[in-house]
Amino acid sequence: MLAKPEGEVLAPMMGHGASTSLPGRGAVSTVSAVEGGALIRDARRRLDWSQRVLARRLGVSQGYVALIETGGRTPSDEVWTRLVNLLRSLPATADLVAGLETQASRNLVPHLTGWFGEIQPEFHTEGPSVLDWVSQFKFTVVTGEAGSGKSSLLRLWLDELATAGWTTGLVDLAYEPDADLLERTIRTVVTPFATDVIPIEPMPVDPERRAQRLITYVNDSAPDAVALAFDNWAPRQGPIHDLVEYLASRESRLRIFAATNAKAVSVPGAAVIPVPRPSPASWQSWCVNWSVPESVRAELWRRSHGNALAAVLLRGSVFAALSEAPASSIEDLWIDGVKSLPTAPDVPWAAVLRVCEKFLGKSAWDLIKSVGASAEPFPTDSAALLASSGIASRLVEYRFLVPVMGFSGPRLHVHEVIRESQQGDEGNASMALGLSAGSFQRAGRSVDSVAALVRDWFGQGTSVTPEDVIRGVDSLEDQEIEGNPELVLALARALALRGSSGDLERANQRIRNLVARDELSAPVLWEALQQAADLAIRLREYARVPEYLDRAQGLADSSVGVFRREPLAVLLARAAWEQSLFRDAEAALHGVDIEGTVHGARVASWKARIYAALGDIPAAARAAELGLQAAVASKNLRAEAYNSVLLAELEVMRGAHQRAKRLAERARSLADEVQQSDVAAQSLAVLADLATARRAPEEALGYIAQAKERVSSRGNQAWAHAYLLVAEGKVMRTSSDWVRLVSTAQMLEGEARRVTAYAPAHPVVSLLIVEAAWCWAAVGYSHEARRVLGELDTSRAQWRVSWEARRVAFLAGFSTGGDEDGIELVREAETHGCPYLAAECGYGIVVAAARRDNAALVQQMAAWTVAVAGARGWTNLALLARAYSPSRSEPVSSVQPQLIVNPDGSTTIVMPAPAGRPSGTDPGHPLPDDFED
Amino acid sequence: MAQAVVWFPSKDHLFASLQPVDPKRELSQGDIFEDIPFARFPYRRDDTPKTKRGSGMVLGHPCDISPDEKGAVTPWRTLCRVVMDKDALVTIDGTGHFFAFPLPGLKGDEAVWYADFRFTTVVDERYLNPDRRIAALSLDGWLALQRRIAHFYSRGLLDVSYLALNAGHHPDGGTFAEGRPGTYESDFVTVNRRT
Repeated sequence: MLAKPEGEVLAPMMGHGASTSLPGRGAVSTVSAVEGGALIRDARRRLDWSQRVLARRLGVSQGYVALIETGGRTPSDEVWTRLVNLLRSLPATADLVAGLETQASRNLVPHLTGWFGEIQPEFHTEGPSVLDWVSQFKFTVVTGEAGSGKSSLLRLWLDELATAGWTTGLVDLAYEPDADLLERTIRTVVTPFATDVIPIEPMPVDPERRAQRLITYVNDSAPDAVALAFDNWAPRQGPIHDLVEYLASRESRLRIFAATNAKAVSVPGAAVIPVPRPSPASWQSWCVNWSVPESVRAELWRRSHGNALAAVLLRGSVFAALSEAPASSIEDLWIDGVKSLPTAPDVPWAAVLRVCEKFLGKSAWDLIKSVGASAEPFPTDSAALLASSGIASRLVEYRFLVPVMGFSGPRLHVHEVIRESQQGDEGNASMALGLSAGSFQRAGRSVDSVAALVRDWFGQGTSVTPEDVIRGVDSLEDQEIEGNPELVLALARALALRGSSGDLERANQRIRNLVARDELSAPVLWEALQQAADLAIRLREYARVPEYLDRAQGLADSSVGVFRREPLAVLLARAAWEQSLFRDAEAALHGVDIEGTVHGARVASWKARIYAALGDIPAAARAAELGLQAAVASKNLRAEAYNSVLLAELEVMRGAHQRAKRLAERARSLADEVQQSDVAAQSLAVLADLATARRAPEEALGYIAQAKERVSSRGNQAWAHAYLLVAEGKVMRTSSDWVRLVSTAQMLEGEARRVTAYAPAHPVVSLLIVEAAWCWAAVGYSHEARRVLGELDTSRAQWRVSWEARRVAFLAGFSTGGDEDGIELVREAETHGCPYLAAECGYGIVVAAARRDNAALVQQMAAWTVAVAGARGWTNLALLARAYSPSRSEPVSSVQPQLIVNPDGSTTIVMPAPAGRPSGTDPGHPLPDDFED
Repeated sequence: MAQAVVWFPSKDHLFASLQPVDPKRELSQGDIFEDIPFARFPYRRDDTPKTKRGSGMVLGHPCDISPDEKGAVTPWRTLCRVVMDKDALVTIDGTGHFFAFPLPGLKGDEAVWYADFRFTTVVDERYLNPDRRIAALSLDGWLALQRRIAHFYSRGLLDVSYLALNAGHHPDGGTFAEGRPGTYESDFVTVNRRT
């Protein structure tokens, strides 16, 4: 590998400061001290760095660098290693170090890379300039499918930052087995030249506290500009991954990048960007370079979906085959390889790898599998690997194996897509070992005990969580599960509720298999069909819902009185609601009574949602109230949490804030108990809303952070993320952080686009759009607000969303109706049973009118808001409006009173009713008559 | 939403006393009692009357209900129903629902109740047991109630300064809720009289 000028064997090292010799290295560099000095000088000139800058990056004094450069001092092992690693990480100087490496490690595995990888991306992509980017965004998430080039993009960015003097580091979370090691890694990366062993005091696995400790460390120890990149990040996949979000959410100098395969990821507080595709020109150039026949270039692009890694691996396979059989035609091999790929629109990685395996041969493929199956990067001193180093070096060259630099020496690993493809391979000894080890754990489980667990879970008031059920059922053999349909149902339900990445697909597969079976009893089929419809909704396959529900309806018709129909109505309503077909949803539940059962509670909660969407807030509140009563009566904690939070949301609009707080806190507590993290997050969003109403943004942000924590413990819950982003936007609007507000607006727009891509009709889309417009308007960019609102399909929007859109238009100054529009908004909120919303809107109108120097409107609305908010006890709002309302003023009514002198000499002043307001125009619905209750 | 005519006191100034109300406090217009019977007859298509007990507000003026005055002549007291605004539709700015007099915070929480002038009952004075009295209006509240009652029955909007001429009839005399004496100016020329 690398050697210092004196020629001692040197272990490449990052971190701990411990220098160890690498076993098995025979070659020794003979680079002289003078040549080493010259290297430093050349590198410094290329980088246009002063000795001081280089010294700072090396953690030494400027004088020491000067001495090395002039040959007056030989650098220590440690400094030399730092230097070489540093130069190798920078594109401008990588070739200088590569030359050294060739001399020093000619009979080792070639192309071993440094921490950032020496391998340069093969495709050119168009992306933002990272320096501009980091000045705006603290936390950036790069998304893309496996092999699309996320890791390469991270490395390019880090290189660019390092060139600009940043301290940078890349952490591959695929190989971070525990939080302690991860923390140690991060500390090492941000302070690469610390020489002391870093003590890590034991601490419970608590990502938030750990993040805080790390941030303190960074603030105390790291240089000014530090960027950390996390590869193979998986949002909401456990504490190791959660730590990344916690790091990003804390105030520090850190800039954080994360690359994830997760689709449609929504990470509150992060700028999420897709990895750029290779440009067409770059693709053509690559094809020419690697002799891809013109006849299959387009086909290669199509069948590999433009995936850079797929193309690179196919290239490697083709050239590996060519090296084995030099007489072959490269064109024929390419054509064979490309034609071996399926033409399906969604080519699986397994198909790509099968082609690779065919070309590479068994021994090479076995080696790849052995590396892929190892729990961590595979040390190169492994006897097996060294014994086959000839193959290994070729596989490195062809990128099937990727060298990385770890703490104890160079290692090899395979890309995640190859690694994943090896899972469950029966021919792999280590996997077999793992499987047999697992069977020991299974011995402690029996079908009966799991079935009891499942019954407990389905029971009332249980503390069994979906996670418990999944763990329990998964501990059984597949045959045992399939032989017991109740277990399949329980597993599918638990997976649907947990909703982590891949859970829904797994549940769907199980359930589809189940409903296809002929021998199911009617009750099991009834339950399975409902779950199938539920999963179809969760997977947004709405067209399949009627199919299952029709079957279920047929079952109900053939067994009159056996099955309750409410669940079918709820499923139909849900499917319609998710497509913003609120009238259809209402029709689906028409005539379905809210009974004091768990079914009643579910019906009630969906009725509440639908009524609210249609703007009938009083009916929505009544339904949620009944749902809450039904949930309590049936002792169903989940339903109670759900109805509580729905009612809390409505009470916020109505202005019963103390009650809303009590309900939201209750919902949060229940949701935590039953591990319904999306409901917990929703409850926290309500608490944030209430804190915002009290003008306590710090408290509100605290709730949002807690909500993120809840959602981060859950997987692919796209809606929860979107709703949380909207909640964050509402809080951020009250903050003065201009940059963050702009970022929030952009994130909301981005999220709206992402959700639109796979669920264009979902109600959350319009919510995201209007919130984005709100944020733009709050920051003063009314043209942006107008642009964003132009994307809103008001015919699909919920009443509140549509109302908010008009409110934004009025406040941002592009509504068409002038002052009357504002008055009408207030009136509309009142007549829809949202007095607080009306008063809040009144205050907003005051502020907007003041900005436009409309004194009459300011006076009218300020006085009105003071009176209404004061009478209702909304103290903050009353105080705010009072600031615009003078203590005395001229008459605000244009109608003059009449003075009547009575026969006894006394006087009466009579004010005629304002014209045009006969009693028949009472706003809103007639008040309910409790004699009719 | 109406023009911003301030007619309704802030939440802190609406009531002179909430439960428990001093039993010795003189009965007054606007006092609210619990467990008052109300009846509907006929109820729907059934000739059987439906009765229901609930909260009620005394409508009679002090001159008519005081035991020292005309109240001694007849034991009958007229009250209107007091119900909760479950749908949050009653406005406080005085517009719409003229039959309703809002009572925010009547039960010590955020719920808004209202007195409904449309549904009245006549009960014997013995029903107005001090133990059942849950609220008494302040002078501010009483004046607002009088305006509302007058408006409901006449559609005429009375100036508070005229009503205040009779403030001495209030159990607390002509004082504000917190006991300090004050003056009322015409709210036709004044908004935000009190800050």
